[in-house]
Amino acid sequence: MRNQKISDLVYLALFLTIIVVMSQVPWLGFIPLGFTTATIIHIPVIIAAIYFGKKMGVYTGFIFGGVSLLTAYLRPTNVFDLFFQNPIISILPRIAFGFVTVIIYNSLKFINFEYLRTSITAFLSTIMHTVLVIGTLILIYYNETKTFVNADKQTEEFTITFALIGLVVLSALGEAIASTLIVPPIISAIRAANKKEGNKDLFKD
Amino acid sequence: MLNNIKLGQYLHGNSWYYRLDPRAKLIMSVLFIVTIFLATNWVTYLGATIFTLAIVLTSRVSLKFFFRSIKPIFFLMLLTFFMNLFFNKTGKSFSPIYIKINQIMAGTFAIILALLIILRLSKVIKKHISGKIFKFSTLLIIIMNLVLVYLFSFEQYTWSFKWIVYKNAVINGGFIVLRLVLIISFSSLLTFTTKPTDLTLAIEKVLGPLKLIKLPVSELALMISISLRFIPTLLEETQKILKAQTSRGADFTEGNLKDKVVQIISLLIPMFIISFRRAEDLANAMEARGYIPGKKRTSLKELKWQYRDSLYSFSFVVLTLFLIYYR
Repeated sequence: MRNQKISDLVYLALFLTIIVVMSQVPWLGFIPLGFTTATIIHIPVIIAAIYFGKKMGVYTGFIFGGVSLLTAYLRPTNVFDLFFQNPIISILPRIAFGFVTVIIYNSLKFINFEYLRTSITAFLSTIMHTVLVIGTLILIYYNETKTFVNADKQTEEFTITFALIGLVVLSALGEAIASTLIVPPIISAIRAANKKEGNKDLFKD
Repeated sequence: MLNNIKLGQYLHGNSWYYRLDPRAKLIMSVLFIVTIFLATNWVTYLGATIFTLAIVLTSRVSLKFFFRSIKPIFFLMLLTFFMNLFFNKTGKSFSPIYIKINQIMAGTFAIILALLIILRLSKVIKKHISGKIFKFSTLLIIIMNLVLVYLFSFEQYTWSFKWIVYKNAVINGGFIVLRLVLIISFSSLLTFTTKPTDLTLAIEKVLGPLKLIKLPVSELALMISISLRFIPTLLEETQKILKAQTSRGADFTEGNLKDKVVQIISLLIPMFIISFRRAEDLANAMEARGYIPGKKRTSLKELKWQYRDSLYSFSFVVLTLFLIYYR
């Protein structure tokens, strides 16, 4: 019997490696969408959550949050990075995101077709990711974002709010579509490799 | 494509800052981010700036590396500054600025933009050429607009906007930008002068007290070290996969969303399978060598807290007291 703790630790380390590599290689973690970019670095979290379950999903979410916190301090590139310097915004929603992904995946048990189940999970959890992060951001920085949230019509603030919401919705949709397309093939490839090589000595050369 | 990515930012060198205990450097860099928010007026900001400059200049790290780490956020700083100018409406106001835009110029610019988008979408011109044309034409139109409106005071066909800038907005915007620069240079200094392995050891030691409330600190540190070990390997492997897929006809340079997704899938599947396989091997090897999670582990390199580390920490206390006194 293998020690589950060691294997969890090593898998987490490898997920951390993948997340760091994806956030460092620009064309691997970001898809340009004209005015904004869709960030798809959350995909390892979805994969960990679907493949390993609740515990690993939450831990990988924590790692993802930690990486984005560090990136926000060491090399911030856009406006959101200024908000991600707050650990409450960068880490907490990501832990919840890992948890929510598992809940979505488990509640879709009635879908027998695995490919469809993973793609729906990927779509919904990516939308949930955006909702959680933006929601926490508005909750924490309510005073700063108040002018945007409660902006009257026909003021300059309203125009900017409209543009910001448009950008967020555009990139969220791009992320959701991208992860819907990307996650299921990876999951099924991992499962296929697992099955072919036998469960006993998993992934042996 | 992967050549311009550098992960370990460590630069070889030798100065007092290199010889400091990584624990002292780590704690003080985190504290600096907290204490800098104590600065509220120009005296405190001047003090913090002089403190940072003194450390940066005596650390004997070439200044061009600091510029290199600040350069990516230049646009961000500009944006923050202008956002502040628009939304902060307190304090004395400067005399209003009239922004005048000539309608003919705006129309020409719109036509150029539409033409560029049509040409780009119909794939007549390449991406970098359209970018160059866009930059050049924007600059040209702005200059022509300025010359026409302000130099020749051509008032027909112009939109005019009144823009009032307030004194506090300029000052606050400047402070925010300065704070960003200070934080970035301080945290870059930490990664420039400390090896990642030393940093991991320091993280383990600093977070050590959290073991009392059952947090797996040493496991976290081990995880970070494993990851640091495998990041270059995985990057190298990504490069190999990239070449393999290119030789099979994949094109990684251009494409729309659909092509991009296919490219990413063709890279991520091998990456995940290689990583999973490696994780299995590593877990087996660790278990065979008797690694038990949660047991006390010794380290090859022990950190020593020395006289100069206390001195360095003391200088931070002085800075904090200064900031609190003069705020």
